[in-house]
Amino acid sequence: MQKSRRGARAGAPIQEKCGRKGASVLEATLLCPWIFFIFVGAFDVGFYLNALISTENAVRAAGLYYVSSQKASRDATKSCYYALEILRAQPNVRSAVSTCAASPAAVNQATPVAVTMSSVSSGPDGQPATTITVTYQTVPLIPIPLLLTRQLTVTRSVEYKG
Amino acid sequence: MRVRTRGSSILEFTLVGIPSLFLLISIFEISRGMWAYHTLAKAVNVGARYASLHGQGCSTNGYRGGIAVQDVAGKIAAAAPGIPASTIAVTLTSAVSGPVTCNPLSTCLTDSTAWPPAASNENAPGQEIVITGQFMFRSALAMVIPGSRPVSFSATNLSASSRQVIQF
Repeated sequence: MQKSRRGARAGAPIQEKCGRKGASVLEATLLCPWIFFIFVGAFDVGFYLNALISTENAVRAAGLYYVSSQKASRDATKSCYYALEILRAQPNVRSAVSTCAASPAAVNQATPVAVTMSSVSSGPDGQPATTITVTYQTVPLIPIPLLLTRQLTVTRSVEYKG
Repeated sequence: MRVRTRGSSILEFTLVGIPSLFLLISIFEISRGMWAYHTLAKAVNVGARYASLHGQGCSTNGYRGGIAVQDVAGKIAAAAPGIPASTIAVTLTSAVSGPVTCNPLSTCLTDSTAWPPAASNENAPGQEIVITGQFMFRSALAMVIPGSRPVSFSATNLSASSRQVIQF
């Protein structure tokens, strides 16, 4: 059985062989975009997760500084500095960025971080609290249509008593 | 004809296998590097937080104050699972005095020198402290980079820092 099949294959007409070659090219063409997008997706999601974790740490550092200062001497600029210290490992922050954007809507590649504060008259325990929000915009990544954006803007908030 | 087909399969596997293996090792190693960085960042943050809560005002309120280098080093080492204290370099910087360098961190685990120093009120509430950690991440990825020696693991310096204000 095996022998006859091989025999048949060896003697197959040229058109059939060419057809098989065409199928391989077609299969590769169909698979390549999927493999490419899987790797691009893993790359992008890795960057997104790194940005999320770093922003979480940054908002905690900025918040701790802000609420531990005397109310009269609370300094939003210094809070921005504390947040930037944590975000220094990000490729678009490094040592080049020294100021924060005026508002979360104003973040861009030159100033990818914004720190905002707002007072809450009644926190979880009924006492006055402060909400600190850090917004960070990632570096431009490879977008996947309808799935992953080119740039992700991460916003994280903490609420501290005081 | 048959022999030629078999040969091309081996060739194809070699051409595809090497880049695939390289990609797989890259994913593992970059993930391991990111995990090491975030662990280090968390550890220095825990150490700085511990120091910021144990300033000079802490002992006057009946709690333990006047901590030493070994206390902070111990906290950092405990908060960095998977990164041995013998591979991390830590610098403790207070407001006025020069930095205390623990290179590696394990050398400071028995250092009973007070930190932040009480001199010049460096451990007073409101003073800033900075703890910086550096970890030499050695990656097996270097093995497959052309030109490197067969078992030469290159090292990448991962650095994390935490700046906090002494609270009590």
